Amino acid sequence: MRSARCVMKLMGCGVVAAMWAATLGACSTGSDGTCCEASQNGAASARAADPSTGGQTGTTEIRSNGGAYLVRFETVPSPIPTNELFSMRVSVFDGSGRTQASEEISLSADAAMPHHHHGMNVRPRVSRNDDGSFLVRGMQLHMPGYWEIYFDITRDGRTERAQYNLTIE
Amino acid sequence: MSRGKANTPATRRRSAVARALVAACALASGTTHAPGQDAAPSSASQGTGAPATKLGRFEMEVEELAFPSACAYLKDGRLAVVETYRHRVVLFDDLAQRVAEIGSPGSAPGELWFPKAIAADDDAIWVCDSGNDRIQRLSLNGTPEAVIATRGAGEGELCDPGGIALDNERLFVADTGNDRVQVFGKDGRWLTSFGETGRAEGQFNRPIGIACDADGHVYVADSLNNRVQKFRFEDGKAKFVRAWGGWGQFPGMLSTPTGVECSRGMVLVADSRNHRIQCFSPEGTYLHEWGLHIVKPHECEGRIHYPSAVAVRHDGARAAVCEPFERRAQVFGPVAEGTPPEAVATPFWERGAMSHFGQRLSADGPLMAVAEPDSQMVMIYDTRHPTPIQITTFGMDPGSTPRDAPPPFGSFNEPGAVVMDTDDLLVHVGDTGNRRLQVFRLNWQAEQPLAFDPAMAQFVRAYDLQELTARLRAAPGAPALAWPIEITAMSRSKANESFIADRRNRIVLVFDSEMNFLRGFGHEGPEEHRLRGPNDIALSPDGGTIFVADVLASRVSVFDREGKFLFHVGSIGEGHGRFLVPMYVAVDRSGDLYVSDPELEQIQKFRIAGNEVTLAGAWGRRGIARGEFFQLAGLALDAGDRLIASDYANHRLQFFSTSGQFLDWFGARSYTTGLPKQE
Repeated sequence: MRSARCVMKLMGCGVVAAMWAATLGACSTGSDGTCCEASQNGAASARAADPSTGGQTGTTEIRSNGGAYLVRFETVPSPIPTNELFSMRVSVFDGSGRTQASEEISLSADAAMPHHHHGMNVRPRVSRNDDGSFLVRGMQLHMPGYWEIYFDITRDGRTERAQYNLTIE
Repeated sequence: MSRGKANTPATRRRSAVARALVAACALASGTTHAPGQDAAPSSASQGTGAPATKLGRFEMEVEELAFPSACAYLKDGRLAVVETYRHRVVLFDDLAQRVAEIGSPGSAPGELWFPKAIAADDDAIWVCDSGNDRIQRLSLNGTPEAVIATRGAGEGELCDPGGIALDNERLFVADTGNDRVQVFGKDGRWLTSFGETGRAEGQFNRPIGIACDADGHVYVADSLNNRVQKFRFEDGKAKFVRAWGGWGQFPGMLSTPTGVECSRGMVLVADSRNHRIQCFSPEGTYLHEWGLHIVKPHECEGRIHYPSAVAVRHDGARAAVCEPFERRAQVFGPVAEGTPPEAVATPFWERGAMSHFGQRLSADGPLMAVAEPDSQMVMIYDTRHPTPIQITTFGMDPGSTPRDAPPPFGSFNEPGAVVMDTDDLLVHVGDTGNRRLQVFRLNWQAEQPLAFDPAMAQFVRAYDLQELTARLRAAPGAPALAWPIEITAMSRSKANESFIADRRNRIVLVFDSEMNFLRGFGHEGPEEHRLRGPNDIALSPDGGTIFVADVLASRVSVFDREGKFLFHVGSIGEGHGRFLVPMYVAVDRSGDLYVSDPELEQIQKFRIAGNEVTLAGAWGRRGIARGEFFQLAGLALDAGDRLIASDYANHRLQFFSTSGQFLDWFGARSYTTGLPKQE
């Protein structure tokens, strides 16, 4: 197994790297001024073990490119390894709190290297957890360089993307 | 006459690579089939039963055709060519001499309006009279014998039919605007239809070409799915047999196939954006191909440029290929045994090659966006320099997505309408083939150093047009749409309202910044005020006046921002102030209107003062020199008041002052020979 000697550099717009304690402050407020429901439990939820692996992960929070959603995700393993499969637990929040995935939205995930004009060589699978979050399995960033990870959130025929930029060395 | 071929070591190496790729092309092309559905081929699929002759040797050119979309050989060997922009069919003898013309512009029986396809019977021709949404059977002297179907989406109705094929008893019509095939008896009775919108087996995305073989099979060029689909028609029903293709350039792959022909056990495909004719077995096995993209501007001699259709003579010894953008057809004969295949050219859209430029472009402030459907990309240029500088491109290869997976966001299938908004740094793109509107944000600052950044564009959001249509239909007072919304053209006001011209529904739809429906216009009122075929749209600087290029009505219709009809500009004809094919419009900061016409190859400028319209200039003619055009297309004005014109078939952009003075051109470096000097 390749040692996790990779460095993630945070780049680009709309990316907020936050540990679980910072998520309370970083969370957006809803249109009525209330904070996202989940952030009040952010400390506990972020420290919770990833249900797929049992290990602890770091949490990253980003806003969608159109501003409609807040996406919080954690990867297993963390940091993201080069050319190895990894998973992500993804939660999506709008102004009313965490969206209930099965009823309201769908999520797709992908990644690409825009400078190289290619994406991943694998196709990830997305499943829904009972608590409304998503589990994304089968991601693989197969080479070093600048990557963009995409979370495409669809509701009622409208899709908005949250994007996380990173460089793997 | 024979084609010149370069027989160099590099050419031979490329040929060897191409032949090696043939072995893998079936896997790469994604051939799918339903087991057991192929009928055993008869010994005489067409003609006398002799095996198919390998065609591809250039013989002659049929010149000066006004957008020849399709052709067919008559039993006596004459070639019938559909001249779409002249609303007629022209017959040629075997020396390419024009011998007869059938049809004239109009909507009465015997008249045609933007016809697009043809099939020949023993003593008659069947024409897709597409602008009238019907089929006509005409005798060889032009006498109307039957009119079949009317406009609509119901049984026996047609919308922009793009292809037609005959068997002994039936017509098979590629009902392009309805994404299906309709079957009629030769007496005009509707029999059945098959297909619907989609990417799965048996579904279509702009079916255009269609052909029948003698074994009861129907082949459909499923253009925006980049494949050919084969069906077996028996007991009055069509059963899916197999499909082959997939977007790409390698042998067996297809890029917007628009024509298909069956001849002597061979299936020929006009592989439009690969600029070639590909030949397959009835099972979809790649056999051979001919044609390479032109190198010299408009060269002939077997070089092919956007072939739309192919037809084979009944003896199998000749094939005619229509090239509407080159205003010609070429005739090919048998290839001598042992002739090596031509080299497979590097696709022009590979990195480092020059752009083809699409027909549609949009400029706002210092930035310009150009859609390029050939590469499925959108290109962004900084126009603050004498030559525009490309600063980013975006879009992805759509061919890598399995058919059971949704097309990824950020990729396109036929990007068409494009709107650049420098205030918000947003780019709106009508993703035609995926039936959605995609919005991107550019991470760009005017003062940043000039550089190409492939990561500059971020996908923001997309709107599914099916869902948008459903929401619109549920809105009180909304117009009744016969078809789902299709973005033919788009413009945006400073108030962030989106104005969408929908040619199929013959309407302009207005949405707010969240794509909530506001109003529609152009679809009601007196017949004379209604739109027939809106192809482009532009707004006055204050957003108070809306100009719509209505190509099927040969004029520009003008409305206020609420949709009230104001007046028309132009009428059909060739004089000043008149149009044959008014396709695109633009408005400068003074409110002056510019209209491009690819049949006249002219830009006309009009001064608008209230309801008064004055012709303020006209320039252009067909050619390759400065200020000349070949398939003149979209218009835009940049921050420096330069009028930018997409000179589509010359693969370049041209820049003019607002008074028509030529300033510069850009692109056209894919040609290896020099362009004519300025006179």
